[in-house]
Amino acid sequence: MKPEQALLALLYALRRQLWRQAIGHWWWRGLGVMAVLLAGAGVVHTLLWPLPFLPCIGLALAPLLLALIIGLWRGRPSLARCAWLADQRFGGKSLLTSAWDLLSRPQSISPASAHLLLSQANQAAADWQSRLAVNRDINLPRQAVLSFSLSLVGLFLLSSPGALLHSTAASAIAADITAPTMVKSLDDARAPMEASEKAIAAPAVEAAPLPGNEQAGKKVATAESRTGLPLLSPASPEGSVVTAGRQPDQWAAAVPADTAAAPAAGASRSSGNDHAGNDSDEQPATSRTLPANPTIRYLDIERPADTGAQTASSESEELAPVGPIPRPLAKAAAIPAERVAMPYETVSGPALRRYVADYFQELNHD
Amino acid sequence: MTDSLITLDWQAIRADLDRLQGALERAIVGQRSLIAELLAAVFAGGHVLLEGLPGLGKTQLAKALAAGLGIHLARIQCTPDLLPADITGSEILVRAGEQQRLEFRPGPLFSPMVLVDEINRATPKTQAAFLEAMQERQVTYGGVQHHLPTPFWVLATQNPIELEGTYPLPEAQLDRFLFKLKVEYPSAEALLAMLEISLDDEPADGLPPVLDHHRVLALMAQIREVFIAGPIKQAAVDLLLATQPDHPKASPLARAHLRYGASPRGLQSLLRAARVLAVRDGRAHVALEDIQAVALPALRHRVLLTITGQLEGMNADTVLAGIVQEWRRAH
Repeated sequence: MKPEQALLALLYALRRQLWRQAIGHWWWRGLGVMAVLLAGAGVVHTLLWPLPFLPCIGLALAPLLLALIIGLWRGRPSLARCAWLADQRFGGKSLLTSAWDLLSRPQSISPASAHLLLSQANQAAADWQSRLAVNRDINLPRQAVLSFSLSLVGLFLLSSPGALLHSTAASAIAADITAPTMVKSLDDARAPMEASEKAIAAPAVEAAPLPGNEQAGKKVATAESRTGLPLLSPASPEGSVVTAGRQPDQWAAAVPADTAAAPAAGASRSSGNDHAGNDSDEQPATSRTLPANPTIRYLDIERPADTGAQTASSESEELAPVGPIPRPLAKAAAIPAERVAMPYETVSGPALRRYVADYFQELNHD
Repeated sequence: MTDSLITLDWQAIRADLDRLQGALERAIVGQRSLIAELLAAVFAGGHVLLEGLPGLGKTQLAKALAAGLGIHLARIQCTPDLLPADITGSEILVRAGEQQRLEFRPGPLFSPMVLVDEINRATPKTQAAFLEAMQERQVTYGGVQHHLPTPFWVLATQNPIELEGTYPLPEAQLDRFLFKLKVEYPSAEALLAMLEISLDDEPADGLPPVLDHHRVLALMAQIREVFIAGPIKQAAVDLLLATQPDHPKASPLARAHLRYGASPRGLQSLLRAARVLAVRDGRAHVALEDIQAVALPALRHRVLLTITGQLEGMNADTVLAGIVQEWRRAH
């Protein structure tokens, strides 16, 4: 056992205590900065513009981590400093300072003086060790409570909807109320398409008495090219026209998952006749017609028996794509898919409703 | 050497000093702190300048100290016509039969303890004769150096109010004194006690020796073994620099009121005297408290006030007390 063991034990214990205090001191400082940042970000997020949650949390945690690193790095006192502080704390009259200085570097001192000094220092250190253990209480600073409160407020504000979302929703609702082209229901969106269907159905009905006639097929194809709408479901192997004279309530609409590709895919699947050249030639006619919903696909329809029309055959051949995508559909493809990729019936919320209405309006203008 | 022997040795030193202190307190009543400071200076091997009004017991204190230490005291009463040779000694013509030769006859300086009474009444030339003796502990006469005895102390007194016909000591002379002690007026209780013991005779005259010459030397050697740690030395340096008005570490008080700060010799005085206080406290190391205790007597005669400081009613003690307080807060 070294004679100065008690002295060293006290100094190491005091250093640990002081180090903890220093880390705590820097920690509270970092916490204060973090609280200010969080509160400020929360206010900005709430009042000015919305901020991303996770980056804000990361930025707010940065000063806390920095303070912790500083506390770990700079807060560790030297043993000489600990001896000095111990003398001040316990009224040691520079006893530990002198003893540690004597131990830490070679000194010109008589053995008797050194022995007396070290023995006094060890005896005092043994006495002070118990008093040091008593003084380990750590008082929570008042600023810490404030920092915690500010941090919680900032977190709450950051996690709440931001100001821009509020303002966007409010403006969207206001636009929904005032816009003349507002689409209020699914029937409103169907109305122009029904008118278009009626306009298209007339020539097709004329050709209906000639099933299997190629001329009738051409007329249907002409109607398709004018409207840009596929009128037929997969054609029958015989190429017969099967959709003439159908009623508006007899078709079903579905929104494909990939709306961006839906116009092209719908055109390629449904148009069994040659659309080549129609893109440029028939553009005025297409633009004059009511906008067709590219997501609508006609399915096989059971015709009533009294109409005398044939029923679509399940062995109908799928029509091959024959031309480029009509322009209105190509423009519609620029709309982000995720914004319209839900079933139309489930569309809800003013913003989304307005978005769908804009989509229809764009198709209408083009 | 075992622990007990070491402890006993240091306890014996402390006991000797306490016994001497007690003896002096019985001879000079009501001057306890003055006696303690005087002992600190004496065992540090320094010279002391005693300043006080007449009749306060300065001379008696010196006599009692010499008696307690068991050493011879030489007294020099300074007057304007005092010559250097009167204190250092001179060569006289000695005739032995038919042969004649000059022989150096030592003066009163060649005594272990010299009481220089009213030193400021001596002319500057005579005052300068003390310089070499006090610092070099030798006297040069006719090109020949004569060493003074060891130990050697000069106890000088001066009157602070009777300044007519006096020659204030120059700074270089003042700097040779380890301490400048102020003899304060005793309290009423001390005056009453003084009547009990010194109404008809001087108690200092009959004081038996507490120590002897060899023991005094042993004590002084032991005191020099007291350890001064590096941080304590640094603190002493900081205190000294705090008195330097032009130094970056100067105290604001020093900048405001001091013209010159303490010299490096003042630093030596600080630590040498602090060692004695440490021993008297039973320690083998110097503490900041020791330096603080000796700061005023060790530095008050080494600083020079500015004219404005004097006009503002400041004196060296008030300025130094403020500087020491600031220094203590920083350490």
